Amino acid sequence: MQAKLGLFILLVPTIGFTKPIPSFSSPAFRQLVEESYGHTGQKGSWQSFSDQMNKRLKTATIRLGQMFLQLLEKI
Amino acid sequence: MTKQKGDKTGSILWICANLHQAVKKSLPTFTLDRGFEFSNAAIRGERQCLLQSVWIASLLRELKVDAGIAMVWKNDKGQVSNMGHVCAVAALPNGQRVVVDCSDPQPFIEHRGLFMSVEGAGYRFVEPSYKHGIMVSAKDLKTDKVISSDRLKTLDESYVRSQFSFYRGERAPGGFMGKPPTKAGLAASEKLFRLSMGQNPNNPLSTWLLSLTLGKQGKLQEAKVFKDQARNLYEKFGWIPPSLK
Repeated sequence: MQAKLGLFILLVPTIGFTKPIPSFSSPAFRQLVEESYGHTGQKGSWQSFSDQMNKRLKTATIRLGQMFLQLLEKI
Repeated sequence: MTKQKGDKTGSILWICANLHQAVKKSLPTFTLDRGFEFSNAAIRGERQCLLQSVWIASLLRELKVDAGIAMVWKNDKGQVSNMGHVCAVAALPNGQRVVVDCSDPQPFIEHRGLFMSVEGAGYRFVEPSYKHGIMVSAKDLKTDKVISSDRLKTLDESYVRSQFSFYRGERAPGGFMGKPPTKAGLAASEKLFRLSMGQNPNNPLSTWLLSLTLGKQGKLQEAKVFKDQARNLYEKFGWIPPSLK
């Protein structure tokens, strides 16, 4: 259990989208996000996007942390 | 869904199913008018088919699952549209594919017509075949040949980017979808469709809607040029929508 907790702590910053998500390579995804803020004229940045989306995911799915723990065991 | 230790396919399906719910819950508002903007997703919790598919694919990639998006031209009920929908597609270890669609209550769906890339051939309209919800093969409509699912690739970065510009053009206030459209709105749509085509000249939908927008502006000669261009693209990729025949 202690090992699991350690993994979870390690996972939070990694899975927590504090770094660019390597979808379609990370710079490309970051570019998509920045273009969106540019087009809408809304205040924001890659960092604020990451923070807000991370919060949304965590709020919506409390068990997300548990889910990723289980994921590590399965893959 | 049952999972067994070491069962990678089962694990990926399980991840997809969980992320499907997580994305739906974290972005609760579906709106065609604004849901394609990542800024609106973060600030307002909005989504639409392209954004939710790109988002779930990006999360899957974060988890080292090969995933991307495909355009849908025939849905699971057999209804045909001119690529009116977008879904996420994830690869399974055995080369099979699974379609994940956050517009549906169930995570996995059997869309019957997709626009994807075929390895060694480029963009193609395909008709997938499924076994128990998993895509095992697809008919390439250009060649009429059945290909294995491992040759199906999701749409590339430039296409994804051009598709965001497409939706901005389609939904520009007073633009192509405007009721009524305005001169400024149509000009904005035209600009964004041209931007979309600049980002990917092989996006048939942007080319076709640019033609229709030019038509609405009374630029009939230019509209005809882009209509022909769009038709050629659809034909090249294997399927022509009824509206262009």
